[in-house]
Order: sequence, then C-alpha cells, then structure tokens
Amino acid sequence: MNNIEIFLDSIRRAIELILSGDPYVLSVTIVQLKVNLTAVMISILLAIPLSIILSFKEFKGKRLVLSILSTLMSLPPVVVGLIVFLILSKSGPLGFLNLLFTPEAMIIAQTILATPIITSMSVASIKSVSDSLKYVALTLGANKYQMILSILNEAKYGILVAILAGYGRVAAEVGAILIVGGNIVTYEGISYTRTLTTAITVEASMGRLDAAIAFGLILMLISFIINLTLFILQRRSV
Amino acid sequence: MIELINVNKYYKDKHVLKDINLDVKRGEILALLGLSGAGKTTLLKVMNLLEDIDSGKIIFDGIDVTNLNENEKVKYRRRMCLVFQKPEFFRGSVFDNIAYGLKVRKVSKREIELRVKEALEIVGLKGYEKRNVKTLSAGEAQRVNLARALVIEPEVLLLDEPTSNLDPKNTEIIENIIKTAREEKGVTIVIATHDQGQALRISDRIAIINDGKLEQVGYKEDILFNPRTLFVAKFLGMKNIFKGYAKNGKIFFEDLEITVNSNINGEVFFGIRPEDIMIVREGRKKENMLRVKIERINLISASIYEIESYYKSTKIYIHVPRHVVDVMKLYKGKYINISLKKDSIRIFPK
Ligand SMILES: Nc1ncnc2c1ncn2[C@@H]1O[C@H](COP(=O)(O)OP(=O)(O)OP(=O)(O)O)[C@@H](O)[C@H]1O
Ligand SMILES: [Mg+2]
Repeated sequence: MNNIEIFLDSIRRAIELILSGDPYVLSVTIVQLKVNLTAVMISILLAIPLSIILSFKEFKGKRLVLSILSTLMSLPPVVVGLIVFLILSKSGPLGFLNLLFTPEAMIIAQTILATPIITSMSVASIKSVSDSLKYVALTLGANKYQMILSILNEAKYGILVAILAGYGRVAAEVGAILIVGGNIVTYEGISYTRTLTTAITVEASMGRLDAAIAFGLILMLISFIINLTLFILQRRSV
Repeated sequence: MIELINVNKYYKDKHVLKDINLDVKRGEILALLGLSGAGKTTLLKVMNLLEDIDSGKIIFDGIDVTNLNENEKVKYRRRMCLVFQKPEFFRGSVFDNIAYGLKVRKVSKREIELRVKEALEIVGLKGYEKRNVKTLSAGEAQRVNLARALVIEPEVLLLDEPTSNLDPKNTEIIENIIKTAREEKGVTIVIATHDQGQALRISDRIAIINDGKLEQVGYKEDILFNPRTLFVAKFLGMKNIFKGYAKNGKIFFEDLEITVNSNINGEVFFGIRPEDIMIVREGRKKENMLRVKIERINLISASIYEIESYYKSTKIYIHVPRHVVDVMKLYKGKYINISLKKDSIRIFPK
C-alpha cells in the first residue's frame, strides 16, 4: 500500500470505529462532552451575573476587572493548566481536596478558560445595545430589574455567541486538561480523564492513525455544529 | 405639576443646567425653546428623574422628589413619560414596543391589546400591530414612539423635539396628536423644540433656554412682544437690532433721533420686529420716520414679503403682507419712508 492508500484506509477504519460504537471511542467522547459542557455551564453561571454587574453597575476598580478579564482571555491554556495544577497538587493550597487528575480538575481548568471570554464578549454585546434604550425602558416605567432584563433580551444573540465562543475555546483545548487531567484511561480501556483532544495527541504519537482520525472527525463534527449555530445566530441577530 | 428650584447640573466639569427655576403647571403645554446644546434634553431627563442633579430641588405634584432612591423614583417616573428625539425600539413588533410600558406595569393581556389598538388609532397607524419596527418610515417610527408613551396615559408627557426629523405633513400630524392629548386627557406637556414656529403653534407658555440658563418664561404673547433679553428677542425673530445712545426718552442712532417709551440713559441695544415697521405713504408724516432704500424683496411665506432695506449702512428688515408690494409698487432701488412706532421698540441695556 502506498501512503495515500494507507491514509484512506485509516479514514475508512476510523469511520468504522465510530459507527461500531467502540466503547473506548464512546467513553472518550463522553468525557470530552461532559467536561466541556459542565465547564461551560458553570462559566455561564459565573459570567452572566458578572457581565450584568460590569455592564450596569459603576464601582471602583471596574476598569481593573475588565483588564484582568481580557488578560485571562488571552492566557495560553497550558499556563492556566499549570496554575490549576499547582493549586491542586498535594502541596498546593487546595491539595487536600484530592482533585488532581480527575474530571473535576479538568472542569475547573476549563471553567477558568471559558469564563473570561464569555464575560467579556457578553459585556461587549450588552454595551453594543444603544445606551439610550436603557433610558427608553426606564421612562416607559421599567424598574431597574425590568430594564436590565430588557437590555439583556436585546443582547441575547450576542450573549449566545459569547457562550458558543467559550465552548469553542474549551472544546479545542489540549494543554490545560492534559496537565490537570493526566489523560487517564482505566485498565478496561475506558476513558477517565481522556478527551478527544488529548486522545488525538496520544493516538497520533503512538501511530494509531485510525483512532486519531476517528477522534479528529468527532471533534470536527462538534466544531461544525458550533459554527453552524453561530452562523445562524449571527444571521438572526442583525 | 413639576417645579424646578435652583437646579444645577454638571456633566463632569461642564455646567449644563444653570440655576433653573421653572414651574410647569398642570394641564399646560410648555414649549422649551433653545438652540442645539442649550440643555433641553438634559432638562427633560432631569424632570423625568432619569438624571441626578448637583444642586436644587425637584417638586413633582407637591412632593419633593429630589433625592429619592431608585424604587421610589420608578413610582413617580411612572406618572410621566419622556419621548426621546430619536425613536429607539426594542427588537420586535410595533405591538411589543407599544405594549412595553403596560407590561412593566403588569396590566392584563386583554387590556393591553385594547389599549395598544386604541393608541395606534390615535396616531393614525391602525393595524400596524404586527409590523417589525425596523420596517417603519421615520414618520411612522416617530408616531409609534409617541403611541408608546400615550398608551401609558401619563399625567405628564415630556417630548424631546418630536418632529425635528419629519416633513411638514408628519409634523402637523404629530402636533395635532399632542394638542388632542391635552384637550381630551388633560395631559401636562413639556415639549422641547428649536423651532419657534412650533413653539408658538402648540404651546401656552414658552421657556427660552440658552446655554443652560432659562432666559425667559412666559405666555407666548409676552415672550414674543416683551422679550427681556437680546437673546430672546433675536431668537424669536426680532431681526432688527441696533446699537444706539439713549438719553431722556430718545435714542441717538446714525444721524437720527428716535423717540422711545423709556427713560434709560446710556449705550443700549434697541430692536423692532420686521412686521412692526410701517411703510408710510409719500407725503404723509408718522412718528420716527426715516427714508430707506429697498435692496431686495423676497417672498418668505405664502403671505409675507421680506424687504431688505438700507438707511445709510444700516440694514433694516421689513415684513409686509403680499398685497402691499403690489399696491405700493415696491421694487428694488426705490426709496420709501418707514415709521418705527415707539410702542413697538424694545430696549435692552448693554
Ligand atoms: N452624557 C453627557 N455627557 C457629557 N456631556 C453631555 C452629556 N449629555 C449632554 N451633554 C452636554 O450637555 C449640553 C446640553 O446637552 P443637551 O443634549 O441637553 O442639549 P439639547 O438642548 O438637547 O441639544 P439638541 O437640540 O442638540 O438636542 C451639551 O453641551 C452636551 O454636549
Ligand atoms: Mg436634545
């Protein structure tokens, strides 16, 4: 077989692997989704109230918070992973929780990755709603709470885009979860802390192209769904 | 209804409202007349409790509302409504937008539907409920903007230049809606405008604001014929303003001696409205008569000609009804006698 044939054969076997419902592939996918989704959920719970406060409240140090957020946003995932690793390691401040190399540790790391991006993009989209609409809501008799809800409703597509961007960041991320999750598979060949992204690095380096491609394909499918949703949202929001 | 006492407002270092004293009476239409940047919008926002003030007092219906907390403000704000100059809508339909003020007041669905329908009829947009607000023309948008305030049936309606972007037809429609609201519902109305014609057409009283200061407040006849400051005089169309020297009931100006009803002495400005100047037939005599040369004749409205004339180097505007130009055979270059009636002359000390 020449190289191209080997490659095409790998793709064929990758697709077979996916369609056969291989337990290993399935478990890796589940860990990936579980970690990503949980991290994004927690991020939403943190980011939305935070962006409301940042958008509607004046307080000292607001500029500082915003610049910290944008710094965190551009922080490489590996660095975030390293920081979480140090905090959760045996001698670290939260070492007693015994969370290192668990899915929970990965969720923590990814929450730290997703929250800043969701927050600052949400703040930007709330800001893009005309300031005078706030006054319109108030003069029409809205109380502060009703006014904020109305403005959020105006910004909702932008906020959804922010959430998807946060999801995109954690779904594609390898560095942080590799460090804090440890890329662990059980003796039965079921993923404990191995995700699609970390799996690809392992499988590719071990020369198991079919598995690597299978994971790559699933990852591509996920990001395709995210992008399609983004595209639809952006068309609706104009 | 709304009383402002010594109100001052700053944006950063900029003094935007300067010692404003104004008492808006229940059921009146008060026009807030001023140039761009004078502080009209700011004043309306202050009345609507949308902006805090730096000093002074705001009394709403007899109650001091100057330093209320946010919840108490909502209570008073709900008795008024400010219609902003630029219509800004929430995403959605015309219905959603007009219903907004009722929804936040927890009015029942059935009643909302009825009242929105009624409000749309009032502004002449029957059946527009389902239209997306983005598809409205400027005139329609301004009417929806107004409907969304009217539907609330506020006691006070604050209007910020509601017709500044509209054609004359739409302007007339809006002005009629405003007048009807007052006549039928007794709404108290404050309307900011930079258009003196509009102020005269629809208001009972006019407040002139200039650079954050209230120059004069009064019934429109008063403001028009007894302007207290030069600014008010010029702003309301006193196009002839001259500098002279007053002494013992006379003003010396060019080589003329003009008799006036005033005992002010010293340097003064004095003015006369173009429509108060009389053209005197040849051979007759009238008070304060002078001979001027016609430089230009221009039809400025359906019924009025503006004559630009000169006495030596001083330009004098005269407004005459259309037929006068024909009857008196006025043309460019002709010399005519005019009379500056002393009752029509206003004097402003320097
Ligand atoms: N939010 C703000 N921050 C700083 N300055 C402001 C703000 N709003 C208004 N100003 C300033 O206050 C002054 C009065 O503004 P305002 O909008 O009340 O004028 P206006 O009479 O409504 O003018 P226009 O006819 O152009 O609408 C202007 O000099 C304006 O630049
Ligand atoms: Mg304005």
